[in-house]
Amino acid sequence: GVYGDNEDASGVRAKQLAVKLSSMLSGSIKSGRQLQFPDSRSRVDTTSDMSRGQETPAIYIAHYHTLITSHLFVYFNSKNSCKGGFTVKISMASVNCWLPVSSSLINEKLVAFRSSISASLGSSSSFPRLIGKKPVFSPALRKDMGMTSYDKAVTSLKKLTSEKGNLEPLAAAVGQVAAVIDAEPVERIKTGFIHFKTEKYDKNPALYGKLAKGQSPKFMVFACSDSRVCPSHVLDFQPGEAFVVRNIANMVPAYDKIKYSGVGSAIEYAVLHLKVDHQLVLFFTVGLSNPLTSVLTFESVINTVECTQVENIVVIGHSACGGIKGLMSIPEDGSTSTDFIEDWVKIGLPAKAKVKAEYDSGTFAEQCTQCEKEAVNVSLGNLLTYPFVRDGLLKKTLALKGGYYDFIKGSFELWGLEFGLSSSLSV
Amino acid sequence: MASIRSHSSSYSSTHLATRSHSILGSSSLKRISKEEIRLRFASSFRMDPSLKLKASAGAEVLAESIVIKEENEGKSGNSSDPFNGMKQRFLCFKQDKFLKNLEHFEVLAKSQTPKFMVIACADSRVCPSIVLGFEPGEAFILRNVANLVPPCEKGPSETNAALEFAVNALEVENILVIGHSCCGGIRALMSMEDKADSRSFISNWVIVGKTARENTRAAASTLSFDQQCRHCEKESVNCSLKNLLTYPWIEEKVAKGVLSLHGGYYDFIDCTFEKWTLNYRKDSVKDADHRFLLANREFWS
Repeated sequence: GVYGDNEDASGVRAKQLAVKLSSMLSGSIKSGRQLQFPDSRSRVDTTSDMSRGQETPAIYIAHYHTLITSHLFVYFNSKNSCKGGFTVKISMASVNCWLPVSSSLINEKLVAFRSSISASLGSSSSFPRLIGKKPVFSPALRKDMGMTSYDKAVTSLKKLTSEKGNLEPLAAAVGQVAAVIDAEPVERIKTGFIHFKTEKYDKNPALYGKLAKGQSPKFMVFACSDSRVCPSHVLDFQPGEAFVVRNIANMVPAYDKIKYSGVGSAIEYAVLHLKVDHQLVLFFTVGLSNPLTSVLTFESVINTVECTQVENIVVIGHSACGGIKGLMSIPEDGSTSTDFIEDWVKIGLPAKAKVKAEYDSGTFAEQCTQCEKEAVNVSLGNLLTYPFVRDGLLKKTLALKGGYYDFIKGSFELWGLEFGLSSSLSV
Repeated sequence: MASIRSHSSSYSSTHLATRSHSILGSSSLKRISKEEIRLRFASSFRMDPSLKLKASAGAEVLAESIVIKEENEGKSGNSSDPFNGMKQRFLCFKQDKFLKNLEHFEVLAKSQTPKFMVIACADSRVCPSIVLGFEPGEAFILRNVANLVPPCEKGPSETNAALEFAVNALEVENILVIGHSCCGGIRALMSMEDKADSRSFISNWVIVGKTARENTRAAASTLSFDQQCRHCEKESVNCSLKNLLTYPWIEEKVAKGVLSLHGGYYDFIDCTFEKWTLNYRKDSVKDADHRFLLANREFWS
């Protein structure tokens, strides 16, 4: 058949739906009307006749734009890999795109996803994204990318749709695009890298030339590995600015050379290993007797020794942290169900104890939020168990800060940790 | 130096105070009352004479800092200066990215479904979000010194906790380990003695890459030290990829074909990126090494 080889129930259904949608869409093409999309309610109707079935095809209706025009891409996928679909060339103005819907999730995950269409394709950073548990299309099409296989498939599709022929050759082309889309991940990072190289690296030769010789970040950041909280995005760090350690729930464990050598080595490297304060002073003083050599010595020190003057260590927690949720979910008897995760997040147990004591009446979600913030404080406290950190704090060359990024509200909290020792009293 | 023990259930303090608690970017800017944290160290800490000396030297300055400070944003510009930089950075992000893609972030706020897990070095020059253009929601990123992955038998660490979460909970489809040029951690590995120096954290950690160092010395002993380091940087990525397969739940998924392991090498001197995939054949009758095959090599420049 047109849409695949398997004539099972779900395949038939998918075909029926395809026919229904195609007539709807091709009707618009023929009449030359601006394509109107069904609103979310009618979309439910369209797919709801499948919701009663056991095998439910998923329908993906995606929008993407190339540098030239905008396409509607309708793609069907049933459990028995009966795939099919078609694209329609549409004007930029009338576009909706929405997430794949499979019936069991229809009510929860139905999201009318209005893409942020950048009218002038000069803005390279915003393009539609579909994120869901099912296969998604993330066409990261950027400028001057060159003809990848994805482009070629899309071009041939464009040609077919403009011919307005029957849908059979379209289906074949769609299959081809689908195959290419499955290879997307590698294409994705390739385009990402090329974009970085052309837009950033090549445009800042002075900066990147300097960075190639050494790094001198002023910040050391502990952030969660969560894909939504990269410090380079949230705090706009440029290359060379921040030495970043990322782990589950942004934890800093207390000093332990054997058990926690990973984090310890990062702190040691950032704060102590490359610090040059004392060395510079020494060389300079030694060279003072002969003014000429003092200058030369100073220069050579700067060139040969990497200067990392980390001035701030920032620990950043965030909302909806899976690691903290895991910590809060560890049962009272301390039994664990994972190999490593719970072992790691147990570092935050003092925070959990405090939250349970002070926010006993709160909901689990509220307690998790409090714990996310308290755990940052636990990590800050643990930083003090590293002698070289304490050293830096006493000398005022180092400052500790805690942060909390709430991506639900779009807010950022920031606080500092003071550390000092009072003068001793002799009696 | 006094040894510090941190108690797991309760902790008490020397004076530690949080101050200048500020909220940036939220619609209602409110002052939050300061929280006092009490952390007390083992008493031997206070007895340490060298610390006392430092304390008495800067007595006035230090005594000042003990007092729990009220927020005094209005009083002197100085107190908010350390935070001003970060505030600007965050507001920049909020303007340029967050507010312009609000629906996208709303979807993300509910759950993340990244396709990639990336293991990269903590080096400030190699953030994968910048170099490979990952947008929020796309990649679960672990960063440690020298992008090392210890094998399963080494026991729990932050690296395998993150792996477990990414592979079992988030069900990522790709793991990418990225090495880079001029890596300080690898250099330390190549420079150190055969046994870990017990005084240093770094040597205790980078020793995980011991196999890579042995392989490098075997293959590249005639090259200069810098060239050997470079060789080791790539070799260590491959050793880390093989270490990934010592985790049964990873090996299972790779064998089933639902998880792919990739290696990468970012050279920031020339700005080039090399990438390859590790193909793994579980039932190979030959020796251990024949189970691994490096394939799909690409070089982007």
